[in-house]
Amino acid sequence: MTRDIDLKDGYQEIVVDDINNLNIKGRFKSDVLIRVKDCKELNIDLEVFDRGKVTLLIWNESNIETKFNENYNVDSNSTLNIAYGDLNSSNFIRNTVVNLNGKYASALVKSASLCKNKKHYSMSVNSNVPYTYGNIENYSVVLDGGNYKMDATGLIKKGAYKSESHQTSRALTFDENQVSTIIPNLIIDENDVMASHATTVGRIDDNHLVYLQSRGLTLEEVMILISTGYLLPIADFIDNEKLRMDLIQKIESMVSKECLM
Amino acid sequence: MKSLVIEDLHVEIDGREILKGITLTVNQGEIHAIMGPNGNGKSTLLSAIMGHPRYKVTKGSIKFDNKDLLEMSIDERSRQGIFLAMQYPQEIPGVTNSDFLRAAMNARSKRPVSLFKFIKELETNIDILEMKHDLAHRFLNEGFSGGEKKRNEILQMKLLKPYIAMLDETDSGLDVDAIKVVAKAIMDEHEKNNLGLMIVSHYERFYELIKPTFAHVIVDGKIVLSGDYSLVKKIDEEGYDWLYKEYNVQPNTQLEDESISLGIRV
Repeated sequence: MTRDIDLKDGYQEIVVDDINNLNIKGRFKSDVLIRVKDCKELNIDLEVFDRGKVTLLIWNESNIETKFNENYNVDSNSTLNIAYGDLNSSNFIRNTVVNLNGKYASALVKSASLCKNKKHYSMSVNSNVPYTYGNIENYSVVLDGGNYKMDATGLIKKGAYKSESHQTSRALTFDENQVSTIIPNLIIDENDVMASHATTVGRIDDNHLVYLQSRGLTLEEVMILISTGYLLPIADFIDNEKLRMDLIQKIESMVSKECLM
Repeated sequence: MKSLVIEDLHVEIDGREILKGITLTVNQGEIHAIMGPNGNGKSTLLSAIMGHPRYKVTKGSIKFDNKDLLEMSIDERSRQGIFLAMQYPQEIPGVTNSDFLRAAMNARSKRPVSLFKFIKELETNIDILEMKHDLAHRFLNEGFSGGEKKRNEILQMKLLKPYIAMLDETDSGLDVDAIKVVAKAIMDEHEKNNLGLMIVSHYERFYELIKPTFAHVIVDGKIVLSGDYSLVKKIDEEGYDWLYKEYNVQPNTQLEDESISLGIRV
């Protein structure tokens, strides 16, 4: 089933259950919550037109294994912000490709993942023309039994001078019985550019645990506090107050639920 | 009145014995100065009481309010009313000071503390400690100056209202004016809530403001001398050499200036 959506100015919500294809056009300043309910496969094609600004929060509530294929095209002078809230407990594979096709196009892709199962991401933000800006930020808390993989690529093509490509990926682990893999790639085929990456995968610092526990917090309470703090940065760039508060509340609630299980 | 009773306490770190038989009772409302040369067991004593997992108690007992603290985890000890203001407070990115403080207050309360009550208590104590108000909303200790971290430890103490607080070199990192502010905040808590205190400091100036009722000197893992405030003054004026001669003890120089990880010096 395919659904064509022309985003309006302002806030709107899209619920995805049995829909497999979303074709979205963004021409205005739009803040969008996409709630993904049980869905085996979801394909998203989104085009942000000249001077448009689209902020997407894709909140994953699926209880079944899902495969995401997402293609985003960002025109000149336009902005795309994507926040992935992947705190659900089902497996998924997510492929995201963002093409910055016009001068002064920018994209910021952030993910927050609470991982007790298989969560595999492949993300690529491609600077195809000059003066573009791409940034990927991933935060993951990997719990017992989690299998987290992040393959993140920043690509600056030949001729895309004065472009920037940045990425940060962090995975925080609490248990030994988990697998966390982060593959940061910067593929740069132009000289006059700026690019950076930062990656950390590691256990929570024992000193931090002791310090917080010495104030009366149980290990579970410490895990909730740290995990919530770790995942909340994905809410930072959401201007829309309703969307931002909704996201913070969802993260707090899901982290409490998962860490206490 | 609650009492902390330590008997014949022996503590090891990585197989090396640091405390070699400490016996000490601290009652609620009393102020004990814990003195001694560096590396002879002062911080180890406080950390062992708090229940730091790195410190292994090999012999002896620690009881609080007739309950066996050694049977309790570090968070259980805290909820019993024991508090340690750490010498090197940890920086925790991602966790705001206020979220942490509220969670810690809720951890020891039957009902969640209301937001109104929490903010009121937080703001009042921030004013008392002359802290910047934005510190509450910044990540826990991250980017705080040394003095701000120490004030933040006392802020936590005031909000959590323990029965016995152990202060590990809280005065280090504080300038002259800040020491007075922090000392006053500690004494207010002592007077209003009958707080018992165990204080490790090298400086008489801090003790002068706190006025300990008891003083103990730890050398090579043992309390070699106990007395009253006059002992603090004597050590400030004469150092420890007289004590080594008179009591025929030698400081453990092997551990001098040796910091272990986990932010605590033995």
